[in-house]
Amino acid sequence: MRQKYLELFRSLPFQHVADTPTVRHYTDWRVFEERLGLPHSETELEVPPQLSHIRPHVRLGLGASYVTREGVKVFGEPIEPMSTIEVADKMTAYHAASWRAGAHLELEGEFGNLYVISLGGEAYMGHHLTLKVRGGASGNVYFLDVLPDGRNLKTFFIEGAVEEKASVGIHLLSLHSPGSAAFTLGKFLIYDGAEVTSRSLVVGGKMSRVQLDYVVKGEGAKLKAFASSAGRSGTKTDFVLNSYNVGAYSEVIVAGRGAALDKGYLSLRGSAIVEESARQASSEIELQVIMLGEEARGFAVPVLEIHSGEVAKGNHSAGISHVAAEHLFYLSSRGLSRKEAERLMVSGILGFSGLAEELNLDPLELL
Amino acid sequence: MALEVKGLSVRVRDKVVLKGVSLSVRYGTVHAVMGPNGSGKSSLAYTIMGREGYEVMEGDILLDGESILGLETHERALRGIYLAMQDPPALPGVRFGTLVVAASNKRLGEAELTRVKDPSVIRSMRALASELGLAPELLQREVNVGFSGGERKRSELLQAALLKPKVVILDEPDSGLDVDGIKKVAEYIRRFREEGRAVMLITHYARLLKHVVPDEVTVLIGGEVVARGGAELAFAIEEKGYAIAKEWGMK
Ligand SMILES: Nc1ncnc2c1ncn2[C@@H]1O[C@H](COP(=O)(O)OP(=O)(O)O)[C@@H](O)[C@H]1O
Ligand SMILES: [Mg+2]
Repeated sequence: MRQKYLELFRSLPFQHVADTPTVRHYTDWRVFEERLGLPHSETELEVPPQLSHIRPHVRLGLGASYVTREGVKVFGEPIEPMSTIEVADKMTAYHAASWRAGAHLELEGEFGNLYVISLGGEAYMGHHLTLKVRGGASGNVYFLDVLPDGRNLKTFFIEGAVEEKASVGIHLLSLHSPGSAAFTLGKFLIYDGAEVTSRSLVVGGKMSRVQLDYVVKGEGAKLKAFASSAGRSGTKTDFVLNSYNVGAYSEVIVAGRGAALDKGYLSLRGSAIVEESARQASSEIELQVIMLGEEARGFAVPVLEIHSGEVAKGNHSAGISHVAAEHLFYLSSRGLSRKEAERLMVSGILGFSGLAEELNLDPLELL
Repeated sequence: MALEVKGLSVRVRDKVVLKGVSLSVRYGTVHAVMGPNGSGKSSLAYTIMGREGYEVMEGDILLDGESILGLETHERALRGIYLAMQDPPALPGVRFGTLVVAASNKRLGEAELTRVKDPSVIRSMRALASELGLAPELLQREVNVGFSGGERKRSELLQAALLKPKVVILDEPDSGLDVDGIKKVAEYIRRFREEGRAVMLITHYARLLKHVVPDEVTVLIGGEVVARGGAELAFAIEEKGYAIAKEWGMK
């Protein structure tokens, strides 16, 4: 298998022309290209201090270590990795050929809050995780995707299935330090009557590509995805949230907020696709990015594609704004100084997804 | 005198938007500033609030007899001037409740923005929202994101009521509202007056003034004051249009 992926890695492009409607490169693939020759890391880097209050149950570093408990089964390697992900681009093939550590999680009943951390290294680190949430289960899984500083690279893939009538939170915090490069992909299949809430918060590195694909397969399955992100000075983040309504009566809401700061770059994009089979489905996607700073660059690109003849509801909207005069004037007319106004806006945007609050993090300390 | 504008001339980039405007607003009164679109009403409000880009070429603005021209916008706000904007912007990420807490913390001299300093603020906010016909969920929503025109106006008014400023400037608080909405706005303005605040009420139409009779009326056209008077001036304009204002003059 690995050999096959290696061949694909050599032959596939980073991006197909059809990847975005505007045929634009939102990801700076050159940063990855430069780091693809890095050897495997020989040390695992520490957890960033902002997360030191969290005790992870599963820890992926050079290897996998974990503690189990009621309702949670952990295996030291993933089960059928890459079975739900199509290998159609260079980075995916690279990951498939190169990842080393991984785990499989099986969750049932009321499993509570589960924390899974994926650490980075001084060079390349690749992690692969598979997840099965059993029918009727409830609880929250928090994936902490961290990458301390360095000229490093991490690929981290999560493949998850949420079975019938489970009601769970699947959350992702990606915290990549400014010099790092990361390619993070989550793909989640949601079956009949299951309900998933997904909160994510991404603070990227020199180049962070984070993609979450939600396939709402089951009849009456529901997804609510809330995302927050910030593009700090000197970093580039391309955060993609895709949803696919497949099941009849499936419901999708995707809402994201982002801020591009100083000289930072942030694109927040997503395709909400309602497939032909999704009778009476509904899908809404709303993304907004603000730019703080004259040289900040931000993009909000939601796309809604409806292939089903009968849809209950379909909506998409985007907003991109320069927080220059108007927002700041408004907030200062309420008594806030310029600095305070900016802080309020940024912490609001980073707090929007609700993840920072659930993890007890001050959003501004993540920057 | 609460607020005095003296011979104010203002430029936005190359365009002169106010020419020698003088008017004053006393505590416990409502001063209506009327004028057709583009006459400089919002520019006057922005200049009083110290908005960047509104360059004062001449004249002065006094609050309680002291010039505020040297102060930044937030300092003017903290001195007690509040502007309910005609078209307030959407603030993605910032919840309405968070904004209100931050604004009231600042007024209480608190450095911390988001932690509630005075719990009664939350109670007042809820009570005012219900009185103004705003759904309680609105407090959890992001400021003006997806708000209807009416919700924007009402939420601006809610802040005015909650923050208890000395000088309340309301820039077309009635535009886009239905009759009930207009009555509600009028009720709040009357209350501000009764509480002794100085109210500058900017409006294009006189319809709101039927429900809140102004103590003074100033008419701006082309950035200049063309007429002054009492409520009768507003009603004359309502009947005969702005053409009457120039005839009326400064009597
Ligand atoms: N920021 C600005 N940039 C350019 N022109 C402006 C700006 N603000 C106001 N103006 C101009 O100044 C004049 C007065 O506008 P405004 O104060 O908004 O009037 P009103 O509120 O009475 O409708 C208009 O001609 C308008 O085009
Ligand atoms: Mg105006």
